[in-house]
Amino acid sequence: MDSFFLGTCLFLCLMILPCLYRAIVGPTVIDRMIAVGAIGTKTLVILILMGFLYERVAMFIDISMVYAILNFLGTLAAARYFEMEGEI
Amino acid sequence: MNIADTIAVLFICLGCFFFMTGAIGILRFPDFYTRMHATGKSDTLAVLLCLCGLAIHHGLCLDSFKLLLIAVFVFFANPTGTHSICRAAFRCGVKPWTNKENTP
Amino acid sequence: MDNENTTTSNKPCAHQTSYHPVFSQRRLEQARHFSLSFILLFLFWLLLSGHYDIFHITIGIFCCLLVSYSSNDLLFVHVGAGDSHLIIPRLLTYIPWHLYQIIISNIYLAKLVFSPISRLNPHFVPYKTKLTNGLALVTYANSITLTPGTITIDLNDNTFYVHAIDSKVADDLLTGEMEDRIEKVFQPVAHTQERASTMLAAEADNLIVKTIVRVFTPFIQIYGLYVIAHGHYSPGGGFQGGVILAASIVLLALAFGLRRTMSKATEKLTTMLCSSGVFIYGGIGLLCLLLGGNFLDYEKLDLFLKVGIPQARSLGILGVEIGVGIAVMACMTSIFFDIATAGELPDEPSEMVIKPEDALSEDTIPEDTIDG
Repeated sequence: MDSFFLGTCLFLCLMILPCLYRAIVGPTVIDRMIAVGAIGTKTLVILILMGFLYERVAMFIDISMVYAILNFLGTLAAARYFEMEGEI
Repeated sequence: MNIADTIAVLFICLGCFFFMTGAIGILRFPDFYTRMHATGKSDTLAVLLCLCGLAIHHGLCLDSFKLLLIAVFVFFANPTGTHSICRAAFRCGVKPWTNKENTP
Repeated sequence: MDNENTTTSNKPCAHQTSYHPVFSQRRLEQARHFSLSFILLFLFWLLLSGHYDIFHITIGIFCCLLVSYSSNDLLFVHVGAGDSHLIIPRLLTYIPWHLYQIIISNIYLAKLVFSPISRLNPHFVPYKTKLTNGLALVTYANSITLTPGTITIDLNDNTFYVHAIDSKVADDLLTGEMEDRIEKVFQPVAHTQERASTMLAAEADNLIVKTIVRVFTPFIQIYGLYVIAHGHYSPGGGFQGGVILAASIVLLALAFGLRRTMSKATEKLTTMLCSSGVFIYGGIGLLCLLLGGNFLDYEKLDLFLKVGIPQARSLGILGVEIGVGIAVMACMTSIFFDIATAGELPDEPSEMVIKPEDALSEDTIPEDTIDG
């Protein structure tokens, strides 16, 4: 099962690359924001998989929970900022 | 490999597939709103599937409940985030891409 | 389960009814919200904690009391808790259908992803809904976002502005099957007009985000307190827990506006908490020093607590974690407020003034796309 988890981790890292491309190329700031959000969601799963690999599930679950909260917070903050600014 | 592990592998593989569609969507789709379709939907379901698979693999214990708790959080938080950032874009006047061939 | 608790906590209020009817009515409501949120949060704590000895459960009860006191107006406000025993089972029957729809939607999207771009035909659909209850609207909006090819862009006066990726999915939405199902779930309250008068007067703008944040914040705070209290078992500790607590306050400020949040978490309060956190940390350290050990030498606290060295060490660490948590939370919050306000509060109508109608008329959407 461990090698399967490792493979899944690698696959997800690979899936981060398209998002990273979008985050670098843009073209607008808001495109970058959603790319970063998507990377955050993938990181969440990777963190839990790492917990299974290192056999410290409880610890990594706590970390990924915080990550989920901060990801949500970041998206809301960006949305709020753009809404107040009125332009992108 | 017992039944629970088989189901878990199936769930995680499905989750990975939806992560892949999301990633390809974010790469290929023409504008912000359509990209949002790709990330907002695929990622939510993919996280749900992956975490459920891992919970099944881990068996019935407190950590599995916490995994499901994260899944529930993402299930509510992700569409809300999608909506809020789309709304911001909409109010800032980001023009949606339209298909010139299909419009009458 | 909650009935028993509600009646016991209501007794003193019921006694006052004859003197101040209006006042006690409100207090009765508050007591009910308080006990309901306490029970929910305590269940959540038990789920998180995993340590079921008296010491941890006492901390848990204390934390839940604190959070349900500070945020009893967040979790259960406007829900009409009397109906919840009807709504929750129906919501549970709605969820499988909803999951099925989500899977359908993702398979549809997967097909679109691998097909040529010219197959897309994105456009906006204004969609007038029959629902009026806030919670039903939020459920519906999030359901739309998750199901086939549609995202809720805006919600204004019972009209959803939906971005549909294809004309087929827009037609699916307009049949209104999902709306009927949600209407069934929220049957007795689905059309209550309370939102028009009080509820949404304050929350009309950004209803979806506000509702979700309102429901999540108490749980996030409990989670932060859990991280602080279980610092010596898990990766957390005072610093991380404090940051999570601060994040919950930032979340409130993002959703409800700076002014409303700062009226609750005032500058005076944050400054006081900041210095008292440092005081707790330094006080425990200096106490160890006074008892003849090194700075933060917890074993020496046993001379004074008389509970045995391992227990004393554990208590000492907990005390320091609490101090650090309070200090970090207050400090992060005040840093956020200072940066966000740049020293002065924005003027009262800081909300966006552009309405969707204006945005629509400002040729945001080319005319020819509206009807696909």
